[in-house]
Amino acid sequence: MLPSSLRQNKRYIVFEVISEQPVAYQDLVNAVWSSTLSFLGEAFASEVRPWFIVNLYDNEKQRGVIKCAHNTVEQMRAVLSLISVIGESRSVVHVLGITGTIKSAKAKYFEGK
Amino acid sequence: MFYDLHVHTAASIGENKLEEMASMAKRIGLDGIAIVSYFPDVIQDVSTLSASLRSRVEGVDIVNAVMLKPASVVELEKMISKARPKAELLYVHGGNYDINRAACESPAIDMLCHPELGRKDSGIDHIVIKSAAENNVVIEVNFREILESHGRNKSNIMSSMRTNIMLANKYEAKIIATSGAVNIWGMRAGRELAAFLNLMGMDLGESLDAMSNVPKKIIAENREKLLGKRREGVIEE
Repeated sequence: MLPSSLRQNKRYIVFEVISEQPVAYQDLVNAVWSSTLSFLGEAFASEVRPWFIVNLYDNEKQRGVIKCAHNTVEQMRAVLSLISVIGESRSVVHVLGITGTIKSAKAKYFEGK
Repeated sequence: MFYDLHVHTAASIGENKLEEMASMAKRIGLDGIAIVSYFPDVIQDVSTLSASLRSRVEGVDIVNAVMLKPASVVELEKMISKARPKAELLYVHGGNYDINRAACESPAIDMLCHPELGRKDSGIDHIVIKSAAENNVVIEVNFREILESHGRNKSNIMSSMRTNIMLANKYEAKIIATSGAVNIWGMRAGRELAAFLNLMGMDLGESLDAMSNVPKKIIAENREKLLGKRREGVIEE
């Protein structure tokens, strides 16, 4: 494992899915990857490095967290806004906020809400 | 404060009711939406509409916008004189170069919508953008065009949008992004649309401004004009 000084800075995008029908987690992951690759391409996607924090996904509220490189937050926002269908359900992925740590993402958007 | 100045309800070409659109707007953090109807459809009484809606969906400002879709420049001029006294915001359906140019040359127009629609070029050149800057006509970046297109077509549309943003930056014209939504699933948060503008070549600060202060100012100015508090051509310092 790289020492923390050499690790890439990250940001955590907290989002909620607003959809006609409840969406499956795997469909959401596929939709995000499909949108990332079609909009940004494989080369830039490697720079963004989107990563789902699986154990933070709230299936009931359809709320989750995606990790990405700290300087590619705007790109990820655009990628998420370009998703219009997840699985077979029309959907909107709404960004609730951006945090610098998982801890603050949990505290602000998951605990007690 | 974010605004989306182009959404359609079931009263025009949309699917959802006004209340549903306003409710979604509130959920995704929009402070105001402009409901667009095509001229010469019945223009609802905005003041009554806003008051009745505010009692149900607090905090969402509803603006009445009218879209002109003329077949020629002469028809556009006639439409402007009929629609302007009734509309809070007046838009022109772009795509035809002559109409794009005539719209930007008229100070009565607030926004030129999707100037690149159905074209191979961006629909705007240095002459049109100069006129838009002089007459305070805003150029629209319509997000629905991106959402509903694929592959090469999507890429071409984004390329045209980039050109328009580059021209607007150079000639200091105003550009804003709208969802162009025809249903609640087409609506997007102002911050997301600002991120999209940023990726298309606009400075992040300016793109945030384009989604908040620019529309807010246009709405305020037009409402003052409608109420007779401000005269056409008078610029506030």
